[in-house]
Amino acid sequence: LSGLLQTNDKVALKEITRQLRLENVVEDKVFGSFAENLAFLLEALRKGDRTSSCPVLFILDEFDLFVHHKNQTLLYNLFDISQSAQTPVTVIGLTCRQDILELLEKRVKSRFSHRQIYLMNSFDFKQYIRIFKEQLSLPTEFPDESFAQKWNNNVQHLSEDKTVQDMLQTLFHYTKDLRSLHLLLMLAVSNVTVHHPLITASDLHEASKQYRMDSKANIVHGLSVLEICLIIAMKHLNDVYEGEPFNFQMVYNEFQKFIQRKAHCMYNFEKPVVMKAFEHLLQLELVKPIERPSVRAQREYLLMKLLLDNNQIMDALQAYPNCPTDVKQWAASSLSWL
Amino acid sequence: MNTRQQSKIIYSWYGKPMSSDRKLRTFQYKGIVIKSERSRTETCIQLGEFILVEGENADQPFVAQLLDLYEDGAQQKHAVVQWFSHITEIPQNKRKLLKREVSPQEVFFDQVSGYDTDIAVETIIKSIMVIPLHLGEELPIPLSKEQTFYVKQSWDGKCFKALSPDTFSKLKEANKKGGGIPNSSNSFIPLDMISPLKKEMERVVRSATKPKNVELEIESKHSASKSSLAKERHSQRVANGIKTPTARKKLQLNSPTRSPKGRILGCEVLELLDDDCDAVAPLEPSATKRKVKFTGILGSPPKIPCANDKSKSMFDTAEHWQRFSDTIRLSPYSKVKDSSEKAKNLSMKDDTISLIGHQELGSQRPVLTPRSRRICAQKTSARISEQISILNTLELNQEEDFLSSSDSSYSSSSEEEENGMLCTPEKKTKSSRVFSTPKSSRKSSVHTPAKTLKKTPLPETPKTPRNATPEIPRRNCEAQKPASILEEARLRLHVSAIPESLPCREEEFQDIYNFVESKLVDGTGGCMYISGVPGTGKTATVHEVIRCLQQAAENDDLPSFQFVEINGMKLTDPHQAYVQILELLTGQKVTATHAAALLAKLFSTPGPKRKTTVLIVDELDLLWTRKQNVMYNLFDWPTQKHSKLIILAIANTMDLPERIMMNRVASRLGLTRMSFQPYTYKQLQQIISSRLNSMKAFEEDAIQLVSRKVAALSGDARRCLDICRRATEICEFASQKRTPEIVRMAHVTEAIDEMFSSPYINAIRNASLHEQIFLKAILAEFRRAGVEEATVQQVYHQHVALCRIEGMQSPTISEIMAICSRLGACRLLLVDSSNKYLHMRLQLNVSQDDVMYALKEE
Repeated sequence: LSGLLQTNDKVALKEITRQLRLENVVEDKVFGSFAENLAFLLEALRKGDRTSSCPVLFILDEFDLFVHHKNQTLLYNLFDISQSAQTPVTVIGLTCRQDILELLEKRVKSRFSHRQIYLMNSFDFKQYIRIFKEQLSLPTEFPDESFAQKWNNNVQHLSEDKTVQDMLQTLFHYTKDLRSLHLLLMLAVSNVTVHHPLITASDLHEASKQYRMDSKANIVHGLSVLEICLIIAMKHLNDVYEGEPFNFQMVYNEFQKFIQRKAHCMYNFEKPVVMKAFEHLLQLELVKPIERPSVRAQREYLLMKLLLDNNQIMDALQAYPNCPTDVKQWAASSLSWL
Repeated sequence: MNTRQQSKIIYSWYGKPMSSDRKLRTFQYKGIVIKSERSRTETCIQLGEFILVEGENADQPFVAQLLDLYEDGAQQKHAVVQWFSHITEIPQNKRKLLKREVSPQEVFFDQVSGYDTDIAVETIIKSIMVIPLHLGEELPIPLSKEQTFYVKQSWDGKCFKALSPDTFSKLKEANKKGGGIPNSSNSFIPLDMISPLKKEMERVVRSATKPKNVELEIESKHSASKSSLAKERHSQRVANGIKTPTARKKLQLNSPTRSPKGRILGCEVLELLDDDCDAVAPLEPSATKRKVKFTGILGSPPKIPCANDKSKSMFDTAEHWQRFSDTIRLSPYSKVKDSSEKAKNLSMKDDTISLIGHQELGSQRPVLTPRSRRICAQKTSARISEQISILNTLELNQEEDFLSSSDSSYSSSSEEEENGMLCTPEKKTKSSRVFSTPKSSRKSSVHTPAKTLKKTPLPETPKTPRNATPEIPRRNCEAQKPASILEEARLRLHVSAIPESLPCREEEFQDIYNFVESKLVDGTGGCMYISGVPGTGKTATVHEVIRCLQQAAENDDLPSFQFVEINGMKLTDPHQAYVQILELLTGQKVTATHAAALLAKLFSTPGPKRKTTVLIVDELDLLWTRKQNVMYNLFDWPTQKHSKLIILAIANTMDLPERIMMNRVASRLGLTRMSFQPYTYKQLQQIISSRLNSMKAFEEDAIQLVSRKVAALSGDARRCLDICRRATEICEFASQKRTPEIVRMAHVTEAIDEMFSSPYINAIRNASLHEQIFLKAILAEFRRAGVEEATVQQVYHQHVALCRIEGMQSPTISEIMAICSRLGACRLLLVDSSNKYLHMRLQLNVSQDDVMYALKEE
């Protein structure tokens, strides 16, 4: 059973009955009400004993979600059966939560065997490299042997390459889980074509770059200069008021100051235009209102928070093409106009 | 439904009061008239006659002799009876005392004390015959179809005795009296020309049920659960029981008006009987094995021949039908002979039955007027042939099945018979008298109603999943026998292993035992509330008590009782408790509200011949509802005068009655409380030792270590046993290469560590570098702000700073968010919903010290 599919005991019971192919199942449909199904299943399991009936293995994926079922009825009954002389039953729960035992009700917990197995990514970098190699290598039963040979040699070379190792090292430092490694390799391997048959270090590097991309900062690259200016204004407001929320009017005033004092190549946009730009930022979720916009509150005075960090803004500005220098200067220091 | 109202049964006195008691203000009568409105019949039962009395399970009426009839001051009609017991009412273990086979028609003169002999008149169903016989005598072949029972011995709750000459003669006399006016029931029915009408009724009823089934079978596959006849009938019966609980109204249940779509009505149905028996035959085998049951309908013999030789041609046209039934009518015997020759595999017994059935068929024919018969035959045969054509193809394959299953056809005929009986009891007797062919009544007498009646709740449409037998598939290979001493120990240490005795709970055991025993002996009701933390042996002790009490009851030291158990956790809804209790008590399946009403009736009315019920309610707190009506009812029943109900309620919390129960519920629960203390280490030690039973698998010290550890934590015996089991595994694993040794301290320590160690530190140690830095950053931020909560943005700045110190590339926000969600998923961190992005608040789920400790080791 999976906690994501069997979202309550009723569904779970039907699924169990279906999988056990008990007699109240006709063509994959389970008859009877919830209560009847429970009684039926319990009766079925009660009738069995160690010597005669077939052992049943229950695997509960996303175990933590089963804990939230009403009264934990299913868990109680499964554990109770496993602890009594009925049909031999083994229940295996899988979860990523370490605190799962605290979620069990005490009578359910008492019936739990307290047998816990923790799977940790307890390997070091050397093993990580080995996994990397194994993942990329072609199996021996690959039809084109000569290509497999070439490919595997290439993988061997890659694993010894300094830049690749560095790159893997950083990834390893960020996360040990293999799913992210798979994702990275997937990105790299998808570059392989007929004309480009082997993975190169640069492929991997490219993939890693793509993988580590900061999503929000990326959005900033696509903004207009006006919008960037607004973000810079917000950044300054954040600096001045130490992260207190701001509203459009404050941002506009800040922007006006910049235009009047400093700007040489910027037009003075009208307020509605600025407002439009501001709303665009809102839609991109670069700014977020701290309360739900109500009908009464004027849009100009709605309190907002910036969802970007200073570092992100500065980084994004560096990469922004054709950024006016005065804007860059203004970004670096809010006092530069003095 | 109006049929239900129509067929009210009215009980009235026969004649004037014979005598009256001024003081008690009672009037005695010599007879009672039972008048059924529906069938417009009246029956009179007089003193000394034998009667069937409605039991707690409507399917199993009791046999009794009417001794007295009186009306009390409150105008309630009462009857005083002498009970007779069926063999089924006698405890299983006592039956072997008889040392002989008992026919289901035989009853025992009941001398068991403790059964209430004063019953309400409304529970009387009808009159029957009970004939006393001497012990050696064979049961005679009954002379009529009337229900007849025989009594040879008496039963006083302990042993069987031959009837004393006194009782014997008394019974004989009563019988003669009954026999002298055998038609006492008749003499008051001069209203109509009974016989034809009755005949008709009988047929109507029978045939109405049958074709319905035929149809059902055809369309049953999916809608089975809904349309199952058995269910319908049953639920109606239940409904009846509620409406007018004191009387039985089988009659209406099968009445033709219920037949599907009202198609088969009146005289049309009449004829169906004849054709039916044939029609059903080919249809039935095609459905399923269970269906075969139905083939036994009166006409079982004609079916056999037709199935054998004429199956195909037979069903083609209506004329064929007509001819066939004609031949049967004219020469029933030859037909039967024919059939017995053809079907060699039919047993002799079966043969006689078919013969009987046949004769019955023949004997009933003359009643019908030929004209009506033809019309109906034409109508019905058209319909039937239509159905047959569908099923014809299947029928041949199943034919053999059907023939060889002589048993099922045997029982089926009994079922059919019972249908007839249920439908029109008086009529049945009537008709048998009119055509009293000596053999035809045999069949009815072979099967006591009690037996046949029991079958009715059983599935008649096997496809209905509700009747499916719950069973887990068998295992292919044998369970392994424990090979080594450690495996043996592991088996014994499993919680499921039932120990020979329950050590350390002797006192509690004794208390509960005494409580239940005293109530049993007194025949009263009561409640007991048992509390204690999980794993302290509450349920085990109570079960042990029940086991001992059952043992005692078997040895006749105690009155026998009924044991019912429900568990709050095993119910989907508190109200399902009623359903389960009722099902366990009587085997009926009804809805929760019905069950509640039935139970209330059962426990609040002075039920005749009811045993004490011991009810265990486990996990009581889950029966809590807003109005608390489930708990209220549960605890209210034992306080009723006639309930004979003992409740043992089990829950974890000691103060449950005070905490969650309303005053009126708590007050009914009473003050009989018992609390199970957590086990001390000595007790745990004793438990393990007693389970191991002097097996040398554990070091003495190892056991003590486990016990002390668990006792200090929770005193949960389950936990204790689990640790021991794990220790044996570790030991086994460690000594795989060498010779197996016994479990030592080291193994136990390892097992304990495994179970009690916190996973967090290990998880932190195995986290990636940046995850660890992130945790450090959190600590740093906490220290800086002095608050144990921080936003991602704040922590991010700390993180970047730490990275600079370490000379590492600083991560992007996206990466930080990924780290954060990973740590959040395994609950090292508690995080807000992620839509706040940078402003998401973080908290540590582990103590700061633990994090520091885990990080420092690196």
